[in-house]
Amino acid sequence: MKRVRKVLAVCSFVVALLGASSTAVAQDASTRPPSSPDVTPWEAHMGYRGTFVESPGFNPFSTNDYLPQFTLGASRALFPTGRFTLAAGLSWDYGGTDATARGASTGLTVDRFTVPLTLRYALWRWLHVFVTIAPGVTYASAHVDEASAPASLVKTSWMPSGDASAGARWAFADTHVGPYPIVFWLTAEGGYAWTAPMQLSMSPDLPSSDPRQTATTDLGSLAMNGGFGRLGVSVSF
Amino acid sequence: MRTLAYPACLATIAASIAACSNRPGSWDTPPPAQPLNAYGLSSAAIVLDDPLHRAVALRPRAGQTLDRTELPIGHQLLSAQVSPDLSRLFVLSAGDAPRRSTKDQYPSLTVIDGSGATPSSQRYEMAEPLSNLAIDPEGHWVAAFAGSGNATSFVENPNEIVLFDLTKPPGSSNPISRTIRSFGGTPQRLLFTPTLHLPAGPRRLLVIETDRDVSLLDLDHAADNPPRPEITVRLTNGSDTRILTPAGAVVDDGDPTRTDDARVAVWTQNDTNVITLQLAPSAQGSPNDFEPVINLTDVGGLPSQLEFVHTDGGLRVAALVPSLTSAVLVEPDTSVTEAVQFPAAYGSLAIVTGVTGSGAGGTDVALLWNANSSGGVAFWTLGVTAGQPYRSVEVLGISDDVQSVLDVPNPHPELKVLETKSASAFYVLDLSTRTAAPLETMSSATVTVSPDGRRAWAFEPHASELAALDLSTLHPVPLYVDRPIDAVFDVARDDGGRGLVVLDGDGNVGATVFDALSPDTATSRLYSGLLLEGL
Repeated sequence: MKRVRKVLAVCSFVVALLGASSTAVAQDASTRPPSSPDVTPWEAHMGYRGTFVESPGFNPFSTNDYLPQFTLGASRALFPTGRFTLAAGLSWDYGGTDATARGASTGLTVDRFTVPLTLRYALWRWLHVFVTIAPGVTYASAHVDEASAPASLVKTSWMPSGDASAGARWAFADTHVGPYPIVFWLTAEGGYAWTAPMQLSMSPDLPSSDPRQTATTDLGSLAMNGGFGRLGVSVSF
Repeated sequence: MRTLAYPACLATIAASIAACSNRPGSWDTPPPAQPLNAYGLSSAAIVLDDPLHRAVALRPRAGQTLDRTELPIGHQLLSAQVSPDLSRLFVLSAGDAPRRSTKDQYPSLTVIDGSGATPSSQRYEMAEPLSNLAIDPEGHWVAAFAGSGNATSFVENPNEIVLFDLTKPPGSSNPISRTIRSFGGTPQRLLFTPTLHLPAGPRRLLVIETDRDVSLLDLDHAADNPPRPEITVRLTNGSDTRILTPAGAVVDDGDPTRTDDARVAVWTQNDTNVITLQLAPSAQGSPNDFEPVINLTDVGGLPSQLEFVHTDGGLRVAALVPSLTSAVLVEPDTSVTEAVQFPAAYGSLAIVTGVTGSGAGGTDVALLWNANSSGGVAFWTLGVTAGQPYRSVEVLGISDDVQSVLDVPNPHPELKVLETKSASAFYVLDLSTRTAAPLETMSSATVTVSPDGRRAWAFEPHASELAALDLSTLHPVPLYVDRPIDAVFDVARDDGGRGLVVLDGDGNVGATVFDALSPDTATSRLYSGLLLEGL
């Protein structure tokens, strides 16, 4: 349900932006400001990301091998050269999945922090293609509410990770806020996500002062690797 | 309209993704239903995970760690039983019915062997699902039969007995299927005899009690082709037409120097006669090389148990007759009887000769108790005592009803643990000193004796209280586990130590592991979700 709500939220946001952009395009089509990066070098983006994870360690937490995430990020064009632009930024993907494992409620939340380095090529002023490499780190938190355990079984871990992707973006609207030009982009990209494996040695979530000796429950190794896609909107200014 | 196309597209993609699923079905399979199907072998505790067709062997190690090994078992668990020496677990499965593909399983017996360094399993297929097991105490045979209970298939042959030769691998000649001749009865209980010295040589027999007769099957010729037929003895008292229903059977080889005095004694649920079958040489042309000579002896009331006993007058069949508050000793050759009056109506008997410090002259000493009435326990000396043969009955002052008597292995065979119906006590009976030490409990306790004979464990099922009892000193050590206790197994470790595995059947099964030789809650270790692993 959480995932559905997030998808609906993203869709609503996109609809709102599209509506606003249609109006803007109709009103000011002939005076569209340049989408050139030297005019609007800063960019903020948000989007919906889905990753297909085929690791056996993902099975306790998902019934469909799919990890949905919400993306927030920002970047700046660094070296505009003709039609090429190199941009660097920061990005945060947050999401999770829940399921049941043999009757026990399970959940996995994933925070992915990356530094995307993007090389863009302007096919037209309103359509860019790009490739991105995004090294980073991932924080994963897994839990299993198992009846035979004295407390919820948990495991958290930081892992190195990275993305490689390619995509395109379309400048579907632009406007001015005072003297400042603003361009709205619709972005689609796909690629491959890599994350170092995480050993799912689940331990009861007991206070550190608890004197009981507990053993771990081994659910295998989780490697959140796989193809991913992302749809998003961004604003450059 | 165009603005609506984008979210629609997104929703379509998301729905398509959500529809994809290749998660193994094991994650959606619920854990085994209660009660927990767990069994203790000498070196492992076994949890049966029937929904996933596997057994999980739990072997304690030093530091209260736990090794886990998965073994496959047949589909659709019917029943399981541990061998008397605690080395093997036998699991009967119905297989897949209806069998729609070649991958679907036939009914089978899975033998889990826990005696090696690593537990192993072997599966013997059979043609018909059978839900009852009889295990040979000598470890050679296992028999599967329908017995009482619900039918396991649309058409069932209740007289079919499937014999598994555990000394041979599965194959076309193992197991052996035999259908015993029926005179309207169906097998209810099976008894493997020890080696009997019969006229044609040593033999092992399978005694098959149906609900109206007794059959004897020669196990040493069970695989002959054509098979030797079993010998069926139809039970009747000779004076009316009632169908007599066997209630149990005991076997004695007799004098080891003779080959014509092995006997089977049978008592019934509805007749006062004791039936003895002396296994004599067979007539010429008989398909078997022995035949039973039948003898009936009226003991005056319904016997609750029979036992062959050695008295100073020779071998006798002792029949406990609670309705007469007595036992009747039957001379098996002449059927001469002698009643021995008891101070209470004892219904159960165990021979305890050799550990009581008595029984001189080759005579037996028996322990008497009755689970259905008070009277505690008594020792019955079957030799001459003070000139009164068979009359030495020594009653111990236990006021509680003794529910069951647990044997204690070496090095304390002189001890018995007496479980009572009372919620407040159990007893440790010392046969050598003929004393019974009471151990009081706050609530109804289940007691198990460790296979190494050095300690007993008492716990309240589905509660957290547990206690270790050193059988040398009778010193109890109170322990505590976080989870409700479903089963307790004292298991040998590889390093020579022992571990106590306390199982909790909630959810996907948890365990608390103690060092059994120095149990302490502070050093125990908790394991959770054992059946979530290895999926």
